[in-house]
Amino acid sequence: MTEQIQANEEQEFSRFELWKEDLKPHIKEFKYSLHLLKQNPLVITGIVITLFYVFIAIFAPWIAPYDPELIDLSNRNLPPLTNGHLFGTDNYGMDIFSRVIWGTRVDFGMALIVVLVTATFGTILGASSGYLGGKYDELIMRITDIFFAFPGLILAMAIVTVIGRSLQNIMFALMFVWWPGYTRLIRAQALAEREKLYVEAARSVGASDLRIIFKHIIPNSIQPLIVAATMDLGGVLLTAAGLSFIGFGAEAGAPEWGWMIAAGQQYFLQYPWEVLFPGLAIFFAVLAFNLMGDGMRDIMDPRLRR
Amino acid sequence: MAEPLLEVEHLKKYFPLTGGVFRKVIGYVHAVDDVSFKIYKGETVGLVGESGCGKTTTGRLLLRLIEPTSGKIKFNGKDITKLKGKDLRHLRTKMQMVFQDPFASLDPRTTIKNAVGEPLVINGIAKGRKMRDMVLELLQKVGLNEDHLNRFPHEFSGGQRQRIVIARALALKPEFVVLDEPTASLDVSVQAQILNLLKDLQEEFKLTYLFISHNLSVIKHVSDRIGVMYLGKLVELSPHDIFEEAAHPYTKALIKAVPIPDPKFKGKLGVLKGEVPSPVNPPKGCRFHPRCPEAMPICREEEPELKDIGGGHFVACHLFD
Amino acid sequence: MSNEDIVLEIKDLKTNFYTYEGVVKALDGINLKIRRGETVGLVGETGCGKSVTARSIMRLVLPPGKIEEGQVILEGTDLLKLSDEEMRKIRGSKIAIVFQDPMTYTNPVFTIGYQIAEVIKLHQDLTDRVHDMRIKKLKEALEDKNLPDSKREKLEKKLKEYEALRDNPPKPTKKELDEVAREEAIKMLKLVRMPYPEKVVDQYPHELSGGMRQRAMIAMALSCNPVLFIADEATTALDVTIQAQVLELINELKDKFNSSVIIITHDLGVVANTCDSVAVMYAGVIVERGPVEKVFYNPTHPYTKGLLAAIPRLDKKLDRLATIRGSVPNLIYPPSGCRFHPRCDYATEECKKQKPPVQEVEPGHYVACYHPVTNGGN
Repeated sequence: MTEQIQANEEQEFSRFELWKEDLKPHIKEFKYSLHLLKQNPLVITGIVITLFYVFIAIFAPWIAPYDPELIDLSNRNLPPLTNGHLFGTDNYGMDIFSRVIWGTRVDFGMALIVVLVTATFGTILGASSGYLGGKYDELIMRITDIFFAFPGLILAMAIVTVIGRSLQNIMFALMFVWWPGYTRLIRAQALAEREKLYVEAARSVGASDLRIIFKHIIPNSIQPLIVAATMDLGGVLLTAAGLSFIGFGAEAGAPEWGWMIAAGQQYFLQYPWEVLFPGLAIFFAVLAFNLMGDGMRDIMDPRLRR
Repeated sequence: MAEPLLEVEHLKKYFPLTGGVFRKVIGYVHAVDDVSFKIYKGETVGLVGESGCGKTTTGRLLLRLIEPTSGKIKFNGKDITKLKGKDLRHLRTKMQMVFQDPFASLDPRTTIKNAVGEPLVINGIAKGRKMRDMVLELLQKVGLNEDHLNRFPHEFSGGQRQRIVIARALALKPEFVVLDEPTASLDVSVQAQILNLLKDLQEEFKLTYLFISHNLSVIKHVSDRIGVMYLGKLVELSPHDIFEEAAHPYTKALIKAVPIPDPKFKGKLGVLKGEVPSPVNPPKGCRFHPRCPEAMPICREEEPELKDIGGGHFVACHLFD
Repeated sequence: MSNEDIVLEIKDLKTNFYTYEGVVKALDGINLKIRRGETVGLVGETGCGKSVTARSIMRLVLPPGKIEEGQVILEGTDLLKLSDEEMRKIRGSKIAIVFQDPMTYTNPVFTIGYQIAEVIKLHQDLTDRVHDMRIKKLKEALEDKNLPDSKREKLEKKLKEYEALRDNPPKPTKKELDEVAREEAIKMLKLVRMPYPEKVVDQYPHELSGGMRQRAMIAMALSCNPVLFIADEATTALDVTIQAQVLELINELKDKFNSSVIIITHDLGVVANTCDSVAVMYAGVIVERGPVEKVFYNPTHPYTKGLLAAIPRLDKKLDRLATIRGSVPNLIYPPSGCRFHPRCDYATEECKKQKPPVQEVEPGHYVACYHPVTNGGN
């Protein structure tokens, strides 16, 4: 009995060891990327700001002093630093500071989810389309052509109109807008990679198309995607806020930066803080994403690596 | 004479060229144009020629990495020209290829262990710990060790990468290995190591090699028999020391053009005039006739056939009609 | 050597590359002398520093590379001390280089003729030639029998004017310069035996084959009659028969132009065939140099011997190729003392301690080794 346990333990042990061993080279590469990133102060700024936002998003319930949707009509339009309202209040007496904080979850979270989902979907679709070619590729390309015919914002607006206005629906709409871009991007990479010798070598040992796509094509194609995705976080966030701003998105009262700017714009000259703080929140978030994206592009540049 | 391990009959590969707005076929690249030969178990057949002669394409055709336009390929007597699916995968375990350019034939994002072990995993032979052990054994056979398992290709030198590629080719214990310019991008001293290694492995695993190269000295060193290709055609195939008994004018010109590392041959390089013609529109008649110093009127009209001029020495030239 | 006409003298050249992993000590004190009209082979394997040497001579070493110390004296001038402006005047005119892959170092959007003409216009004063062309054109026009008398008078007057201005010709226009440069380019193409030179001069690099492109590049390199011509693996990417054509061309032209030539290659056959003398490099050091016959028939450095024994030969049948054990060292942490000692069968303690001095084993034949093997050739 103990022999059996021992044998199993050995197996467990070696499986864990094996996994650790497999991970080591990837960790080394990651460390090298970090080293390259460290040399660029702008990128570090971008990363720090992003992490800051992430922190705020996670700990929003503990950081925000007020309930972001608490209406207090006796304390409307208070300037910053009055009565415990760090950023002041808006036309309904809601605390702007808390709303900006909670808005991080909404806007930031939305950008992240949209990009993650569309990037994943686009990668799989683009890689298989580029590698397999033929009628399947033609079909996918024509579908992406149709989507590309519409400017992003208009398309999103149209979709939201059809499926109804809500934060979730903006998310769906944006996914529809962004997926063709990643598909095309990965497809272009896949087209180049499939001609390469190591793909032929894999085929010569019997690798199936599925294996080649997932184990060989995709890992070698995602570099430009990482850059694009990082930059797109900013783009998605802006579009989402923009949609809410023009009234296609968040429900009234939701702690969403775009909506806050829309609500505050009529009082811009009297109570500028109602527009300023959500605006700054958007500004710094997008700036951070762009700086990170630049950094990603730089470290991916093969001429710079080694 | 024993049965050949591999037999090629009238193999042809034409690549279509498309052009114009509607991507019509406007011509063909006659990459391999009616090539026939046999390879026997245990021998090394060298295939030599310059760029565009079709030697690499021939290697790929044998392994069915590309489909022949016409012709037959037989392995161990069985016709493998039209195999598909499971049968083709099974065939792949018997015939492997060591690709040209060790820098490009390894996936830059796959560790060595996974690269060499891939054939084992795909064919259900081993995985996990067992795969790792088998890969380690293979790496040790080619002169590498445990430290090298979990690294990426870019951390290795050209010679080491070539060893890795050889280890991968041997993973499935094949009978026949096509070596496509295995030492072309390697330094001289590394090349010597790899050629010795290939010889040792051939003895140990009873392998049969098709060695493709443009380097005549290397081909002479490794081959039992040598085939010379020009513009898609096999112009000479010889069991003897082809370099002493070269018959075809192209072979002779090729030999004279190789600079020998001995100063007494200074200035005595034989220069063959002209450029290699395009494989899209090969010259009529004998393909070599525009550059041939011994061309005759018939060479412009008729293509010469590959004939046996004695002792298994084949030449395709009207001088031997 | 002192009464010979030394064109290039390299003294103690050291070049480093500052990379993420560390400092690559690519060249560790290169010493070389080249006479006028001499062809020197610089031979070695990957990482030995032969290309770095060529680039150091031309001052084309880019960061993270840096020429640390040493002198590169071309006809009496230390190139390492010149300003960028002055060095630019030398590149292309006094020193010319031809690289390995003519597809990547020719500009694909300009014609061959344009690229050769560019070099000519940059480095040569074509004023006199332009003026000669003007006079020639006038004379040709005057030969036309159907010329009306009024016109004939005008042209003859102009001809007299130009003839008088021969010593102080008027400044050429851009158009005239282009025309003359193009004529010169065609002349160069004819010199390198390019088939259909008038046609090729207007073709783009991708329309030519590898061999033809390389000829065009040689034409460009020789267009300004350089004192030193460097061929950096110029025939490595070419087919054997085409390589033979290009080598024959280089052999002919170097005599015609009386240039000194540095042939950089890893192919000892090429060296034996084209060079007067050879320098064998290993890990950033010249380990052996001398006349080609002496080095090939009496190799004294263990590395040279090993290299010669490792080559498969067309004229000999070898059972097994001799190998040099070990591999090329990482130049971030080069071996101490003699850089070859870890792979050397004759190494002793002193080889590990200090860099070996250069000894003259025969007249003109130098080795950097504590134990040169002087008992015969390969």
